[in-house]
Amino acid sequence: MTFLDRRTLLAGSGAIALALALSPASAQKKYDEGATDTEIKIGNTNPYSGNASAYGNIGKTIDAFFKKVNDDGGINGRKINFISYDDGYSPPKAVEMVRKLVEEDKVLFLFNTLGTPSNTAIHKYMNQKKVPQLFVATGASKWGNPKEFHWTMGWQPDYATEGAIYAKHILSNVKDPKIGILMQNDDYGKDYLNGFKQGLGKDNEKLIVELATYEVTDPTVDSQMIQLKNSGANVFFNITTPKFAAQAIKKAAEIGWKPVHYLNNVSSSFGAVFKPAGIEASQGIILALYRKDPADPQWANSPDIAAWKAFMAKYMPQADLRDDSHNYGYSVANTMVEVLKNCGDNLTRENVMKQAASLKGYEAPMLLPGIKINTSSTDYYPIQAVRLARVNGESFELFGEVQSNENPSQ
Amino acid sequence: MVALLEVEDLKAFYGQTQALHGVTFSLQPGGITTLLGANGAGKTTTLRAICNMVRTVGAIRFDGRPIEGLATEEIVRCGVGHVPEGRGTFTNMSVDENLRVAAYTRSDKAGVERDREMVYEYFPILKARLAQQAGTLSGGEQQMLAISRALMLGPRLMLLDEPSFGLAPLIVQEIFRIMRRINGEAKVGMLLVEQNAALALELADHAYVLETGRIVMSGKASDVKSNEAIRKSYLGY
Amino acid sequence: MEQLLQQVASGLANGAIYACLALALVMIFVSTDHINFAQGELSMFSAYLVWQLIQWGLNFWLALAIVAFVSFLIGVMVERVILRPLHSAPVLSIVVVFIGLLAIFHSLAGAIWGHTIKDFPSPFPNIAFAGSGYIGPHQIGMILVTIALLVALFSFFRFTPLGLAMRAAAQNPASARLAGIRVDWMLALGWGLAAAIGAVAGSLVAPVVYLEPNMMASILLYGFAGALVGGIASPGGAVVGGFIVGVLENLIAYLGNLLEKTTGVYIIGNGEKLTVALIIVITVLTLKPSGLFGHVTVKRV
Repeated sequence: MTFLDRRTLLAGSGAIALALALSPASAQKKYDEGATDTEIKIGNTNPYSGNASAYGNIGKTIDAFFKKVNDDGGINGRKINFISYDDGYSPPKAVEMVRKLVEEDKVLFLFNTLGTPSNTAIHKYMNQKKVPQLFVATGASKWGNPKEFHWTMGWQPDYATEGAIYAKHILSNVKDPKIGILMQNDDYGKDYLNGFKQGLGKDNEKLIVELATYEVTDPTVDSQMIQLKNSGANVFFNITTPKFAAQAIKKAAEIGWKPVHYLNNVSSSFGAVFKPAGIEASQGIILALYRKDPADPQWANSPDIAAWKAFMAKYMPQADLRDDSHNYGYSVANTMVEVLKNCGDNLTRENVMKQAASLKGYEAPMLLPGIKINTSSTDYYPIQAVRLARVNGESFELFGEVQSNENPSQ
Repeated sequence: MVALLEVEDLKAFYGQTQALHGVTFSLQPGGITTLLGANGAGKTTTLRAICNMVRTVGAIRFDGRPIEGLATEEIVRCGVGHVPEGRGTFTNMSVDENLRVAAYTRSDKAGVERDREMVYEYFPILKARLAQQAGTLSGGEQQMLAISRALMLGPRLMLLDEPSFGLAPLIVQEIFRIMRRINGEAKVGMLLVEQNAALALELADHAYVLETGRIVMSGKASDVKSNEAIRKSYLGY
Repeated sequence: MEQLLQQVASGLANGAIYACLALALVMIFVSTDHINFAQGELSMFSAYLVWQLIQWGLNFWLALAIVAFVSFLIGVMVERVILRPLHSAPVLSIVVVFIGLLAIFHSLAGAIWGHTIKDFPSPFPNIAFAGSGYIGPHQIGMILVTIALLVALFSFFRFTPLGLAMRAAAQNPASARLAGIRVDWMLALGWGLAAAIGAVAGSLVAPVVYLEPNMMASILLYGFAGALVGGIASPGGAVVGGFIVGVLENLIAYLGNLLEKTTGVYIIGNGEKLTVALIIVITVLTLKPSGLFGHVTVKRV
């Protein structure tokens, strides 16, 4: 009997002790807190209330998907016990809830905790406690830093990578570019901007002729758009959240500014951006995508979309299918299940982290064709490829090859 | 003849403190009655109690009709014009607006117009100050405005709370002279509260003397005035 | 120069948004002497109601008329049911109630209609006209409606007995009662009218900033700034104040950017718009506490 087994034996219940004693095969099973023969406890925080509560649908979708997994027999015979608390998108509240999850509920790991501010607030704590903080729901670039933060990993393409991809596309496709940027004045905006500048390269930074920032408290970005138009820019990089993106698109049309328009993925929504802004005004906008839009007819026959629709119909019949949160939640939850399957009976925190960092060419449902999840002990950026698309009518027209940035930009 | 105002066993309270201990008196139509007494005797409280501006127990009949328990504004609408302590001017409004607010409850346009003219006649200075912000009027002018506001209600009874307070003697005389005219010409009964007993007794035809929330003495104004003992012990002159 | 004109025009358009909401704030202040922190959320909620009716096929103006009336009733209800028991409560308790109302209407809207932004139709025809490169038809319409509302309100408070009575009730409730004014109802009426104006404000703002539960949060801040600069007790002042704040914030950013371009020195820019606007408010209030157009209350004893 190894040391680890003895520890498990001492900590475990009588029933497990008996099982261990009786069955020599069980020597292969390894558990940390939160995992047993029958259960895997996963913790999560989401904004179910407050301003950002729209994102709460991600947590609800994940919960529904884990129910489906359990209904189908669980993972290697274990049921998922998904404990998700409301943090109201408030970092202090998130800290409180996460401490509860780790110290009282004793979850095996955290999965897809949502929001850059909340994840930043628990970042150090999770790494001190050596509890995985997996596939966080934010695109900040700081989640892929295994040297300093071994226990934290992102999932979606990070903002900096995406910014760099746009920059490269501009350099190779727009003749004599003069770039105007509208940017939300916070970490999210700066992350995009830094990646974008890196993509341009030192020598080309002067191509940025105007940088107009806005605060989230600004009622409109009209004044910034006038400023940008008057700068003479012929390329527009639009780093805005949906409401401001819609305002910017509409205002550009109103004042007759027609640059080559790049829009960040954060606002890649017909329902929340292009329809309110005006479909006509949105034509030709270029953006980076990594997941399929289920409403797009070109995916009507793809099996993952069909499976998603069936899942939604059965487990979330009331949900609004156009809400991207359901799409996102389904895809990321599938990735999580893949990792847990790969863990086998070794459900230690170290092994969960190891398996999360060993995904090779995994095609999670909903990802665009050609986009695969790759991770390693030095690459903590699961999705680093996107495809560029342009708004065409009421759908996205993909063009060009898969753009990837497999050397993580720091 | 039915009394214009009858007050029976009136008690009033400020929080836990009782300020009136069963006051009973009555007013005949058309007369001027004065309530006298030292500071804190309960004069102002009595006026406020009649208009339900303090917590009150007791019976109050106006023109034979019980009004106790009615809201202040409803009592006012019965025809009681209260010129309060401190004058209650709407300082941010013009003189004209103050007068118009005062006539808010009335629907008889012609009557309101007539009363306007009457007010201008009593207090010509107000007519000259119509557009002026009421807060900038002198003390005497504000008192005139306060009386005019009560008049604009078209009242049958006016409750006047220390109209002489803080005013120069000449102005006080002027105001009291006009009050007598109003009483006679507009047929308005008056209940006058005054510190200045000598002045009040000149004007009034009936007087009550209050001490610590009780009526200690009543009679014709002329009798009270000529009774030196009362003057010495209660009225201080 | 071209840009300067555009920035001023765009500032006027934003100013109309602030002015509209500032009017509702003034309405409550004039009739109840309170500053209603929940005004923005009430307007937002009304705008959602209008949106809902339009979805059900009603014409914009008809929907707005219905919602203005419904909002009026909601305002009256809020006063009679929630604020009435607090008549003698300290100001702080009332502020807490306002903040509670804010939270309630905010989450209610989020729960019913969701948090995704919604397109809100403009009631004004989308036509090109001389100068339409500077300012859109909706913005012009908004400015006109704001001015019309202002004139209506001004006349109401100045010339109608009811308007006068409402002002009297707010200024000096005890005296107003002595003039036979039913003060309690005046307060409720003030709430109702403010809610109705708020409905108009919300429905005019929504086509510009898009409909979502947060849409009024920052506008309320600017609306306050406008109302305070112009004088919170003066409808005209509030409207002018709203326009001043709208134009100033654009000019500040414009001049800051210009300075940075020409000299390379960054002093102020887009990020400091709100800060500078608030500094202006504080300066104005320090120099002239009643606002630029507020009447100074003089009291003589």
